[in-house]
Amino acid sequence: MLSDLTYWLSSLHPEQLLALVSALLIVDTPRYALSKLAMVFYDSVVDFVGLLRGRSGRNGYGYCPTVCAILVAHNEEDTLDPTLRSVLGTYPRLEVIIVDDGSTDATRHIAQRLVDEFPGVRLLRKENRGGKASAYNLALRFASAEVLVVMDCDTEADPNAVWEAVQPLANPHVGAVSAAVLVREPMRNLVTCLQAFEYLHSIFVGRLLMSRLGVLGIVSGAFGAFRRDVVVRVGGWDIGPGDDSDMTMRVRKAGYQVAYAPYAQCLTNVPQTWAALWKQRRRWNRGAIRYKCRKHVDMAAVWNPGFLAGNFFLLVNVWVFNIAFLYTFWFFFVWTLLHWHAELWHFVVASYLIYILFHIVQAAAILFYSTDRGRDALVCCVLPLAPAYQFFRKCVRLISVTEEIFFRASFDDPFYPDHVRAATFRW
Amino acid sequence: MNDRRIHPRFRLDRPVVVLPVLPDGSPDVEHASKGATLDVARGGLQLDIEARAALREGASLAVGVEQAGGGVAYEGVVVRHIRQRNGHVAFGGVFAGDAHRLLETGSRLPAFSPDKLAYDLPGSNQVYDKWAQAGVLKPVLMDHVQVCPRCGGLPTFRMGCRRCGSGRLVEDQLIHHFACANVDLASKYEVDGMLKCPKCRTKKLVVGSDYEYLTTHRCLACRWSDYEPTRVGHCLRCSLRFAGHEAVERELVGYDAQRLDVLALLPPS
Repeated sequence: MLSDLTYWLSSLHPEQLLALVSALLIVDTPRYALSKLAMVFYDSVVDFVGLLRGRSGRNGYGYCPTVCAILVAHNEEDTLDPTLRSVLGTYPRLEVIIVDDGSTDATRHIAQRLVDEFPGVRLLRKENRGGKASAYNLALRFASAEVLVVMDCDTEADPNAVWEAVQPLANPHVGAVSAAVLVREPMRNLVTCLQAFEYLHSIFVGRLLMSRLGVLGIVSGAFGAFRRDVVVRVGGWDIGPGDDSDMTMRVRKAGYQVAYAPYAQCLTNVPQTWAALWKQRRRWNRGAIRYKCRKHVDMAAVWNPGFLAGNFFLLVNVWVFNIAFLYTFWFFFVWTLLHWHAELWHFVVASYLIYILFHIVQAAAILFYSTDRGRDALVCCVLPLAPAYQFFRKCVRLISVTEEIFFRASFDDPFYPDHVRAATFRW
Repeated sequence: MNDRRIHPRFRLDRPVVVLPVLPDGSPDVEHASKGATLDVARGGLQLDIEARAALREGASLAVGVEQAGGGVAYEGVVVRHIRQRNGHVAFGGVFAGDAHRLLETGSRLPAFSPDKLAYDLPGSNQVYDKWAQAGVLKPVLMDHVQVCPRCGGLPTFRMGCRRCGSGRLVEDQLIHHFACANVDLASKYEVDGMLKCPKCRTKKLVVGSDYEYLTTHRCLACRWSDYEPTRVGHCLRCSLRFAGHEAVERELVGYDAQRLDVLALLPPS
C-alpha cells in the first residue's frame, strides 16, 4: 500500500503535486475561521430563540468551593503586588499561597510585606530555584482548598475571574478550567497589538471552539483552575517548559474534561520586542512535539484501557494541523519560490487577500463574544498586518518544531535551572 | 527653728517666674507671675513678684530663676511667709512641695512596673504633659518598646504558628526530587534502606544531584503547616497572642528639667 502511494506521488506532474498541496492548505487556513463562523451562527440562533422565549442570557454563580490561588514568583518584584491585589477580595473562600522560587531581587521582601498585610496569604520560600513545577508541588502540600487557581505573577485577574473560573467545576467530570488570557496594554506598540489580536482570536474565541469540540488541550499557566484532588491523583506538576500543557494533558488522560470559561478573563504582560516574542514562541511551540508527540502519545493508543476519543482527536489535530501542515506549507512556499518566481507578486497578493478575508471573519467572531467591544475593535484595527504576523509565527514554529524533533531543544531551555534540567527525564 | 538661723541668706537679684501648683499637681499657667529674687539660701529663697497669684502660706510653687548663661532653671518651693508691698508680693519659702518632688532627678523616667507588667511613669502622663507645655519639663525619648496591641502590656516574642500562635511546632523534612519535581515527606522516600521517589519510582537518589531537602513546620496545636514559623507575640498581662508585626511600638518618654542649682548661686564660703 505504501509503495502504491509512493508510486502515485512520483507519477504526478509538478503542477498536480502543487495542486494537491494547495488543496491541503485550503483546508488548513480557513478551518478555524469557518468553524468560528459556524459557532457564532449557532450561538446567535440560540440567543435569538432564548430572547423570544424571554430567557436571560447569563446565570448567577451557583458554585462556591474553597479556592487556593498559587502564585509562583521568581524575581517578580515589579508585578507581584498588583497581581496579588487583583485577586484578593474577589472571592469569599479564597486563600493565597505565594511561592518565592529562589528570587534574588526584592520579591521576598515584597511577598513578606503582603503576607503581613493580608491574613489569608501564605508565603513559601525556596532558597534555591527549582523551577515552576516544584514550586507548584510545594504549594500543593500546603493547599487544602478544593480548587487550585494557578496564576502567573505578571497577570492581573478581572474582579469576577475566580468566580467564573470555578463554575465549570460544578460538573464533577470537569478536572480543569482554562481562563481567557488577554493582553495588558495592547496598544503599547505593534508587537503587543498583534499579539493582542492573536490572543483574542486564538485564546478568547479559539478555546471556546476547541472546548466545544472537546479537544481543548491547554490550560494556560497565566490563569487556570484545577480540581485539587485531580492534581494530587495525577502526581502534581512535572518539569516543563510547557508544564501547563503537560498538566492539562495528564488531567485529560486521567479521564476528566477540560472546560473553558471565556469570561474568566485576566490580563497578562506579553513580550514587547520581536526578539523576546521569538524566544517565547520557540519555547511554546516545542511543547507540541515534547508532549503531544512523545510524552503523551499513548493517549492516541486505542488499545489503552483509558482511551478516549476526545484525547485521540486532540492529538490528531496537533499532528495534522500543527506539524504535518506546517511542513506542507513550507514545502509549498519553497516550491512556489522556485517554480512560480515569475508570478510571485501575484501569488503573494492573492494569499494576502485570502488571509485578510479569514481574519475579518475572526474579528467578527471576536466582536460577537467580546465584553469590551470598544477595546477589541481597536485591537482588530491591526488586522491588515495579521497575515504578516501569521507568517512570522509559521517561521518560529518551523524552527522550534524542527529543533525539538531532532535535538530535543526544550531540555536545554533555561526556563528551568541547570541542575533540574540535568536530572529530569528526556522524553 | 527659723531657716534664717540654719542657712545664711545671700543677696541675689535675678528675674524669676513663679508658677503655682494646682491640687492635681499640674501647673497653674494662667496665674504665672514674674518678679525677682531678693535673696537665696541653701534651703530656700525670698522673692518679690507681681501680685497676680493669690498666694497663701503653704502653697506649692515652681520658681524659675533666669540663669546667667541663658535659660531658666526651676525649683519647687512651699510658701512660708507673705508680705504685701506696693502692689507686689514679697514672700519666702523653702525648697519642698509637689514641684520640688517633680523636679527631683529620677522621678521623671519611665520604669517597668511588675504589678502592671508595663512601662510607666511614676505620675500621671497628663500632668507631665502640662509641665512640658509650660516649659518646665522637656520630653526626652528614652527608648522604644514593643507592647501588646490590646492592653499595652509587655509581651514575650518567639517563633510560633502563624495561625494560632502556639510555639508547639515540629519540623517536617521534605525532599524535592529534581527529575519529576515531586515534593514529599522524606519518610515517604525511604524504602528498604534507600531513597526511592514515590512519584517516578527512581531509586538510589543522591543528594545534591538528584534531590534537595526542604524543611517545613507543623503546629501540634492546630495542625497548621507552614514553611517557616513566624514571630509571635504573647502578652504577659492579657495573654493575647498576636503576629509579631502587630505589636505596637511605643516610645518611652522621660522628662528632663533644668533644675535650679542653689549652690552655684551662693558665693564660695
